[in-house]
This record gives sequence, structure tokens and C-alpha cells, in this order.
Amino acid sequence: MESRQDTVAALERKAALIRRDILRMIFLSQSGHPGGSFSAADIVTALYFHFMRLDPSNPGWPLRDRFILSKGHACPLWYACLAERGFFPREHLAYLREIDGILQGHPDMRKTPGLDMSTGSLGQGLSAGVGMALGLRAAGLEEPRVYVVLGDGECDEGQVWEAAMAAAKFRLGNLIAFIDFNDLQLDGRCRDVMPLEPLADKWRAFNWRVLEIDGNDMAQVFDAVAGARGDAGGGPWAVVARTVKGRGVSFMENRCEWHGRAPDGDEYGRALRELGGDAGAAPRFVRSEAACRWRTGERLLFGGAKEIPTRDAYGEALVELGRQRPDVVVLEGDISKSTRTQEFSRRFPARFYQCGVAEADMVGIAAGLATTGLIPFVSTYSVFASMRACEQIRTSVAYPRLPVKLAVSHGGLTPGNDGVTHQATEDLGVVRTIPGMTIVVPADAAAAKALVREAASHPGPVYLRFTRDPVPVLYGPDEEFRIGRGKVLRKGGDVLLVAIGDMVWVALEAWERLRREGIEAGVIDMHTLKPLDADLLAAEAGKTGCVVTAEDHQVQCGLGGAVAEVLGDRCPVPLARVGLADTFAESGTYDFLLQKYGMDPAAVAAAARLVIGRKKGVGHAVP
Amino acid sequence: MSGEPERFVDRPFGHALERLGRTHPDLVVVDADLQRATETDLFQKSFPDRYFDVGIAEADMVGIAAGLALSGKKVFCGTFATFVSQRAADQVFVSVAYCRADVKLVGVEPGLSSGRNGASHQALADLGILRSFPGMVVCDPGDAAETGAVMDCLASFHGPAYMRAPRGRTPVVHEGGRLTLRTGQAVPLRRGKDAAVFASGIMLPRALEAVEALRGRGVDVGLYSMPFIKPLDEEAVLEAAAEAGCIVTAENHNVLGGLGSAVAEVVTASRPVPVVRIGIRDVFGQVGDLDWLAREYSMDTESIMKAVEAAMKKKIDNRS
Amino acid sequence: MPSHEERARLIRRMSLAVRRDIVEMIHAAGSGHPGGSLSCVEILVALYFDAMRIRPEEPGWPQRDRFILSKGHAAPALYAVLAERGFLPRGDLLRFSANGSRLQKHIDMHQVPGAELSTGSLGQGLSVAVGMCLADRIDSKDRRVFVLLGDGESQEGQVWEAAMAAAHFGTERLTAFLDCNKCQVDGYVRDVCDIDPVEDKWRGFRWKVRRIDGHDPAAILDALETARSCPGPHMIVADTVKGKGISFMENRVEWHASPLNGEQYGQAVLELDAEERRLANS
Repeated sequence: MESRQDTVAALERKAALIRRDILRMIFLSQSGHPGGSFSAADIVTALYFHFMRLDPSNPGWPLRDRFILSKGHACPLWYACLAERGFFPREHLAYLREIDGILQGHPDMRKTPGLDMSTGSLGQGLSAGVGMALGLRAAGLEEPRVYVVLGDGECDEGQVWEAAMAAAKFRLGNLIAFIDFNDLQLDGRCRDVMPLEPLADKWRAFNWRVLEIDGNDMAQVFDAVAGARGDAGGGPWAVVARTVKGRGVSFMENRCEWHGRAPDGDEYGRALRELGGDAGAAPRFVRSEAACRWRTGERLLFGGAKEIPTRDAYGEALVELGRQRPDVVVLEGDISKSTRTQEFSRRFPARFYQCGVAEADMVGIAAGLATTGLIPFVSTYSVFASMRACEQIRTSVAYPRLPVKLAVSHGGLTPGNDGVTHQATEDLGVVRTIPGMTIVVPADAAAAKALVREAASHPGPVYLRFTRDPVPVLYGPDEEFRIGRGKVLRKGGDVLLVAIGDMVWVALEAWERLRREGIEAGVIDMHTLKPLDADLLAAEAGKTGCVVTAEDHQVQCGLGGAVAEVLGDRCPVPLARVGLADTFAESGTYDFLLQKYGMDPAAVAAAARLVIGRKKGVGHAVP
Repeated sequence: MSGEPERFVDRPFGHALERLGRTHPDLVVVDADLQRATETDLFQKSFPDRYFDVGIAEADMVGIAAGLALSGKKVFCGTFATFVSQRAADQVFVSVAYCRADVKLVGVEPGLSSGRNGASHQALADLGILRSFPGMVVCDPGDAAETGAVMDCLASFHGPAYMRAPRGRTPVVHEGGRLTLRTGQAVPLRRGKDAAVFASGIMLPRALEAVEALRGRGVDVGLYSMPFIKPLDEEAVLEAAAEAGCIVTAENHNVLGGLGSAVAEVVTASRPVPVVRIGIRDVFGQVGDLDWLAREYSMDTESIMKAVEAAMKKKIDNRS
Repeated sequence: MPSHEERARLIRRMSLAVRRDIVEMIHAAGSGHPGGSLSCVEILVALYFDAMRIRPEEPGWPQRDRFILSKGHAAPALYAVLAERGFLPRGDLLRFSANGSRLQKHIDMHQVPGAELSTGSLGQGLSVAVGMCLADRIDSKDRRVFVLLGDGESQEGQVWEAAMAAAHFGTERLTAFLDCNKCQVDGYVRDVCDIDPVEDKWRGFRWKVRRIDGHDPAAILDALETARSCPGPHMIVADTVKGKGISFMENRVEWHASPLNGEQYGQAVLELDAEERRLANS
């Protein structure tokens, strides 16, 4: 039998190999999160290569130990371990975050063999772990353990503490949670963003048994897991593991910017050497560009057009507003670099609130600020604002009619390779059902700037949605926009294309395709989804006798739903809705996703031909 | 009176859940401190080992339910409809819908049914929110019989669903009080050539009353009960659109996003006819008993009758 | 300045009046949450009749201190205190929960003068209070913000998000009460999902914590004075009795949301009359 010392040494070697695989995955796909993958690598390696009972040929084996990576963005680590354990061929590692691939930007248990839970929206994994531990107990299975790895910043989320309380109540000795305490979150050190200390005391006060270790010292990791899994008699175990973000690569260690950045060729070589790799040896997996069946979509109008992410325009507009209006304040949920509020925070630190990874709380704080006459702009990703803080928006913002502006990035499929957990494709439908909400989705950077200004002086709550990826510039800088008034961009009598947000350029491309076929389409930029410009819609639809809606969203409940309501009420004519057809998408570039999910210019043009065909034979109102 | 069918049934949801507990040993229930409101106390009494109360922590409840489901259980979990759909929206989206976990979410006191609790508890957006989640089955049964039938459907398939549950004493609309349904099936009650009414949830008895009154006056109005908002019975909707030429929807929900929108989406896609939607017109509610609120928000029998007339007028206007 | 003793006596007397209002309004409405309303009476009275800087004739006075009833189902207690303090006509109380009444079972801030936030969905009040404190800091206002949370309510994760944020932002003028009446809808808090050791939890989230008898006016006044004299955030864990003051309701879970019938109402009034005689003689 192997000695503890030998086992620890073998695990250390394995952890180095896993780190090299992670590095290569992120390098090949030029996308992913190295920092947090490296900090937790020793813990997850110890679990997968020594402690966990698994059967790679039978991933669903009921007696297996369960593992949940609640900090889902560190999934390259999870994928590397699963491939090395033989759950799927290693070649897949070359296609991280790619369209048609099995390795999503954030873990999707329905796509990757061996995953026990889909994660990527922080704070949810521990609750699922509690459920699994209860389920195993209910099945009378005493052996299996449930391991959950949480991030430190993730502990800002209230759901973590709900789950902590429940696990203690149910005395789940078969549940072992690791807190990967690398003291860095997206916007800085935890102690600056949202201090967690005394973290061990917190877990103790929630009735957990606590071990404090150096999470990058394999011997300490080994002893902690051995001790915790061997003693299921008391309550749940929390292992507070001090780690180093980016551990193993000197220039990544303790550096925030390596949270979600890919290395270039030179950095890759240096990092590989530091991780004990041999640059001369044959790589363990290689990538073939020919494997991708998608090609860049053809652009007739916007081939060489300037493209800007609308979130950039939001960031600029905020700074201007900050200068002009002392009543504008900004709240941020630990992603200021992504939401583009960083510049505002530099210039107006006294009016910037870093709320940590706690969206429900952030919306509540914004409501409180608004009661005192301030105009709070709340920034996070659309999916977290509309769903994680959904009830707070309804009850603390909309119901009291407070002028909170939810200005959110990563709308629709524009987060591309981040995958489903970060793609907001239901948000418009969710928010539209809340009374008194105004919903604005600008089509380009110029529209975004103008509409942010409008929203600041608009009474009541406003939901503004921006893109992560660049979209073509359609408007001049002086174009004027009014909330609640759609813009007719093209006149045409054969069919009406009603588009919103980043689908407006797609609709214009479709218009050009149709024009070349001799079909005259009208195009409306319906930048305000609510209140919908029903007068304009009914008037224009009456002229064309058929309508196509185009939205970067599910076809139900959003723009298509809103237009169907108006047409049913005022002008029943055929309607085709372009958008996601009640399905989750996947990781991939924005352009490819639009093609794959039937939302590109060709799809809009096809929908137009379809409704034109349908209007023959249907009696409709002709004014 | 003997021979007279029962007009009301006590706690059809709670009893159905308890009944399913007997036939489905893998069925477990998770609750967040509202067991009497959700009627899960009936289940708990029979199956204490398969019942978990997590306290006032809805997000956690949904996550735990997902974990149980992913460990092979069939999970029913519920709270007030507003908390299922809003407090835990992100958890329902990621941990349940995206994982396709076998979790049946139950929302009690939906819409105006929470009456006395006032606006903060009135879920007027739940159908719209959950309908927008891919793969989610969404139900709003119209009486005690439909409640039992929908529960049978939910227990029969694997995957996420949301059901609005009536609480306490619940009316019986369908004769005999028993019904068998396929998932996604509409229940045609009357056929008519002048107009068709589609109703769900507590609006069903009101719609029936309105339709009967109109038929008494010689207006040939059809009526369909829609226990399933998603998947929607498109065939039934298109059949009615073809036959009647105009439609009225009646739902205990915001007119944005729910049954009315779903019906409008279907008819505009292939058979555009006027659709008049009855429901809350995009405002927050207030305190009051159900009948008073229904009148206040133009959702009573009389309003449905007026809506039918309005829809018929639109039909004629459109032809002229 | 009245003596500490006199102030405590006023709170005791006023609390009795508020309890009368609560049972009367819930009896008249045939609906409402008596248990959790009766447990927080002394705290609310101490705030509105002693600690808070407010103007009943000008509810929106910009310099006012603010109070958020995060456990919004205890609305009858707040309505009664607001009425006794002159924010509302007392006659309104009998319209509690009636069709179209502005006094809903849960609070609508736009309809109730003196109410600072619409509440009723547990767990949201503390976050909003943190936001109010931050705004006051921007505006250099020296007013204070008070919040009352339920013990069961602290099972909501958002409470802990807000707890962390309050400590992080150093919301010095924030004082929260935890109305520990040990009961929630489904049973005793310790059985449904235990929150103990609750003082350790709040200390672990870096709050200043003090535990008091939540029905002892002198202890409440003491705790509020301590909170005023040193920077917070402060958590005052108040041990209370659900249904306090009405013998058959005390510590009984089933009185969370049950109205009083005629006989029970008569009995409650007799008990409150006896308490009034006892106070007059003391």
C-alpha cells in the first residue's frame, strides 16, 4: 500500500499536469478563466484522483460520489480532470467554449459526461449539494459524499447562507464544502469589494464544522479531505482553503486581470515552462480549424461598418451623466470591467457602490437610494438582474415606483462563448410582465448613449439592455430618440419588419436581401419594448398586411409576444416571430449562434417571404 | 342533496399530492415555511421521511429541489406563486429548467386569489415569466377536476413544470368532478360560430357563466378551458379561430405574457383573427376579496360578456 | 427632559393602546397577523414615541428618521402606532384589509402616510435600509434608519447579503431589531430551520450585537441609547413573545395569521382591561 507521502507526491504531479491542460485549453480557444481554475486545482485534483468513487464508463453510477463546481467559471479545471479520468476523449479539450462542442463556457450537465450539475450563475451550487446529500440519505446510501467547491466572492450571495443554514438543520455530515479563498474577485480583492472575514467564524456561526488549510498545499488538502470524509457523524464540513489565484504561473499569481483572460503565444510558452511542461514535446491535444462547420455570415450593408458593443456606449454615457447630474449614482455587482462602470467609479468614487456578488441586495440598496431622490443605475448582467433579483425589482422597485435604472449588459446571445448561464434570452419577457416597467433596448452605440440620457430623466423604473459583443453602428451621433416612440427606418409596402436591439442591424440586412428580390419591406427600430408604440405598429402593419418580429430573445413573451398582443387586439394580420424558438442556446461566437439558431439576416428574410405568402387569402383590415 | 353533483371540493391540490405520494415512492416534497398554505401538510403527515422544510428561503428551496431531483427524486416544491416565479426566478432558470431537473414547482394563491394579502403577494406575472423559460410546462387548472388531472400529468413525465394551485375550497366545473388529460390538452366545453372564449384558472367558472348567459340570448359562443398555458393546445386554438373568427381570452394574470399572449402568438402566426384579452391590465393589485377584485379589474362575468361583444364587433369591422 | 422611568411608563401605556388597536382591527377585518404584530409593539412604540425624529404633520419631512417594517405582515402594529402618533386618522384602522382599503395586510408606502417602504415579501427591508443610509451619507444628513426583522425572516439569504454590505459600507446610523418571537408559520423557528447561535451570526457578519428583553421598555431605551452613542451597524436581538399580551395567543404558532372570533375578541379585551388597571395601580 502506498504511503501518504507517496500519494501526496503523485497528486502534486497530477495537479501540475491538470494545470498544463487547463492552460492549453484556454490558450487554444483564446477564452476562459485561468485564475480561479489554477487556485482550486489542487483540491479538485485530490478529489478526482484519490478520494472520489467514480466509474468513468458509467457516469451515472448511483453509488458515485458527487461533485459540484459551484464557481462554474473555473470549469476548465473540471473538464481537464474529467478528461484525464476518461469520462470523454481528451481531444474535446481543444474546443472549449466552441459552437457544437461539449465543453460549454460554463458547465452544462446535459452536454458534458461526468458533470453532476450545471452551474455558472454564482451562489446556486451549495443548495443543489444539500439536495443531493438529502437525496442520498433518503435512498439509504451512506457511503457517497457530496463535494462542493465555492468561490470566495461567491459567498457574497445570500443563497449560500440559506443553504448553509439548511445543511446544518439537516445535519448533513455527507456534505463537504470547500471555499476557494484566493481573496480576489472580479473587481478586486475580496477585502475591498465585500469583506468576508471572519469567514471561518461565519461558517461556525451557521453550525458547520470548519477546517482551515492552505488549499495549495497538497498534504494539507489530503489530510482535510481524509478527515472530513471519514467523519460523517456530526454536521456538514466547511474547508476554508487559503489559495492563490493563478497559482503555479508567476505572472498570473494574485493578479485580478487573469480572472478571465487567455494567454498569448509568448505567455503560453512561459507559463508552460513554469508548470513543468516541455515545449518541445508533442501536445496532448490539438485543434483543427477545419472542424468548425460555420463561416462568417455575409453582410451586404454592414460589411465594413464600424462595430461597437453598446455596453461601451453605456459606460461613456454614465460618465457624461455623472458630470452633468449630481443625483446619478451607480451600483455594481463585482463586474465593473464588464459592465463598463469602471470609468464612472474612477471619476466619481463617492457616488459608486460596489455591492459584491449579491444582486438581490444590490437592487434593494438601489431602491433605498432612490427613495431619497437619487437616480441609481444598477449594473450587472441582464440574466442576473432579471432573474436573480426579479422579485426585488418587482416589489422593492416597480411596486413603490422608484426611479431605479437597471442598466444591464450581456443581452441576448451577445455573451456568445460564455454560454447559456450568461446569455439573457428570457429577460425581456420576465421584466415585461412587471407593471410600470419601462424597457429599452438600444440598437447601436449612438442609440444607447441617447437612450441612457433619456432614461435618467424618465420617471419611474427603466430596464436598459446592452450587448457584450460589438454591433454595427447605425445612427449618427446626433440622432434623437424618445422612449416609447419606435423609429421607422425604411418604408415598404410588402411586409413590415419590427426589430429590437441587436436585431435591428439584422433586420436591415434582411431588408437589403429582400430589396434585391424586388420585395419592399418596412423596418421599425422598436427600441422601447414597453410601453410599446402600439399606434405606430398598428398603422404600419395595416399598410403592409403582414409582420415579422426580430429579437435576440425567446420568441415567446418578448417583442414577438408584445406585437402579437397588439395585432390580435387592433389589426389581425399574419405574424412570424424570429428569435430563439423556446430553446437554450450554447457557447459559440455571436455570429455563428445567430446562424445556427435561425436568427441571421437570411432567417429574417425567409420569415418575411413566409408571411407575405400567408397574407394572400386572409382578410385583413386595409385602412 | 343526493344525486346533486358536488359543487366544491376541499383542498384538491393537497389531496392529489398525498395520493400521488402513495403511487410514486420516489416523490418528495420541499417546502419553505408555508405548509398549510401549500397544503403539503397532508403529504407530510403520510410521508414524513419524504418531506423537507427549508425555512423562509425560496431560492435555497428551489436549489435543494434540483439537487434532490438530480439524485433521482421526483420533487414537488411550492410556495406563494409570486415567490416561485420571482424570488427564485434565477434558480428556477438555471438549477431547474436548464438542468431539466424533474422538479414540479407549485405556486399557490396566484393572481387575485391572494386577495387579502394585497399587492405584494399577488402573482400577476408568474405565467409570463415561467412561459419564457425553455422547456417549462406551465399550468393553470380551472377547477378541482382539472387540478387532479394536471397533477397526474405532472407526475407522469420527467422534467420541469410549473403549476398554479388552487387553495382550500375549490369549485368543480367539469361534470362528475373527474377528468383525464394529456399534457398540453385543452378542454372544449362548448362549440360556437360567433366567438370563442379561452379561459384558465379561476376565470373558468366566470367564463362558463358568461358563455351560458350569451348562449341564452342566442349568441353562439364557444368555450375552451386551458389548464395548460404551455405547451398550448394550438390545434384547439386554430380550430376555434377558424370556426368562430374571433377570440376572447380570460386569465387571472397580467394581460402581458400569459394565456392571452400565447393565444395571440398562435393565431397571428397562421390564422389572424381578433383576440381580446381579459386580465389585469398591467397594474399592481390591491387588497380585496376575490369577487370584489374581479369586478374592480373588469374580470367578472359581465366583463367577459362585454369582451365577447367587442371581439365580434372587431371581426365585423375587419371584414367590412 | 422626562426621566428614564417616565419614558418607560409612557411606552408601556402606549403599547397597551396599540395592542387594543391591533386586536380590534384584526377582529373587525376577520383577517390579519396578530401574533407577530403583538410581539413587536414595545419596539415600535419606543421608536415612534421616543427615539425617532419625526413630524406626524409632515410625513415627508426631509430630516426625519426612518423606520422599515421588513416583516411586512406585522402591518397592523405599524398602522396602529402611526394612528396613535397622528399620522393616520384612527378611524382608518377599522377599514384594515377591507375592499380597496389603503391599509392592506401588507404595506403599500404610497397609500400609508408615514410608511417608508412597501413590504410584505420577507427579506427585502434590510437591503433597502442600507441604501437609505448610503444616500444620507451623500447628502450629509445625520438622520438614522431603523429596521425591524423577523427571526424566521433571517432564513432569507438576502438578509445576509445586506448584513455583509452594511458592515462593508460602515452604515453607522443603521439600527436593526430582530423580533425573536421564536415562531414562524410552520412551527417553532428552532424546528423549521434554526437560526441560532443568532448573536454569533451577526457578530460573524461584523455587526455590534446586543440582546435584550423586547417587551421591557427600559431595556429597549437603553439599547437605543447605546446604538446612538457609538457607530453601528447595530443589531438588537430582542427576545419577544409571539401574541404577547393575550394569554391564549402567547407562544402559539397557530396565531400567526388567524383572526379573532367574537368570543376570543371579548376575552382579549378583558385581558387588556385588566392590564390597564394593573398599570394604573403600579
